[in-house]
Parts: sequence; C-alpha cells; structure tokens
Amino acid sequence: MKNTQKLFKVFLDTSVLLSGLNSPFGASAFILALFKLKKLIIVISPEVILEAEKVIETKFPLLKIPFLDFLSSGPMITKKLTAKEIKPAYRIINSEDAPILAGAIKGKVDFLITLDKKFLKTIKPFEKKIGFKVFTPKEFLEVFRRNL
Amino acid sequence: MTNNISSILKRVKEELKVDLLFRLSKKELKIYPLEDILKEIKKTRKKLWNEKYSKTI
Repeated sequence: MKNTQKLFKVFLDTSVLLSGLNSPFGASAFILALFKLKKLIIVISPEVILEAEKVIETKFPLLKIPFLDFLSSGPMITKKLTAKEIKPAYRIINSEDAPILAGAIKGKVDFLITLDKKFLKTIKPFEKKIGFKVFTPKEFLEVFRRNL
Repeated sequence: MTNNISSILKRVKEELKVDLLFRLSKKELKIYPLEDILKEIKKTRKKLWNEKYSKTI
C-alpha cells in the first residue's frame, strides 16, 4: 500500500479480536498483524472490550496477556455508547448485537469485520445505510490485498 | 537515483512482510477451539444485553 494512501479504518467484532489472539496464523490474526505493521487502523468500542474481558475471565485465561498486549498497542477506542446511539442500530438489527453495530457506526469506519455469520447476514443488506462494508476476516483480506 | 532505489527496496521489503503473513495465515495453531470462543461470546453478549441495555432500548 502506498504511504500516501488513506489507511482503512476497521471495526473488529469481539469474535475476530479473540480469534486473532487465539490463533497466530488465521485470517483474524493476520488483520491484527497488519495493524501492528501500521497498515490499517483498528477500531473497537468499550462494549467489545467489556465483552472480551468477560469471555477471557470466564473461560479462556490464556488469552489475557495477548489481549492486554493488543490494548497496549493502541487501537482506536470509541467513547461509551449512549442509549440514543444504540437505538438506530437496534432498529436495523433488532438483537443483542446492536451495541456492536452502534460502536462501528460511532467509529465512522470503512469496514466491520465479524466471524458471526448470522450477524453478518443480518446487517449486510444495510451496508449503504450504515456507510460501511461488513465482511468476514477472509473477505476483508481479499479486499485489502486488491488495494495493495 | 540512490534515494529512488532505497525507496523501492523499502517498499519491496514491506510487501514481502505482508506476503509472508499471507502465507502464514494458511497454517493452523490454536490455543482454544474457535467454536467454543464464538459460543461464549454469544452467551456473554446476550447476558450483557439483558443486564445493561434491554430495559433502556
């Protein structure tokens, strides 16, 4: 990617973040590696952080250090969402995934990346309305590579 | 000229790094099964929604 080119702003769903921390060689991990190489900007929300913390605490303690390391590497973190900001997302998705979608909207990102197929399928038809593309990590990497 | 070559080399080096990562991304080495992580995220998300948002949205 040319240095003068605008970096993609990518919102990571908790599924992609934890998957990337869990396996160093998958597509999700590759996205995290691109972030460390400063090839893209990763955006997360306090809701993603809280969710990840709870999941790690409950069942996956070995991900704690990689998670802290990721946080210390400077991802962009949106401000906490208000109910007023979650409501429009809830009108689109009508499920507990609304705060994640609202976080991506608030972060003004270019892409939302998720491994949750149901979540992806539900918001895909609304890409134009929400102003960003929704992809799996693998799909995103294809787009990224084409833009190199 | 030298600057030009050095900037080309720098660019090639960066692209090689990215290419190497693409190759490595095809291998598998996981700490936990991905399905377990996804299942736990769904459970936690639902719980947080019920505790924090469902009443106000």
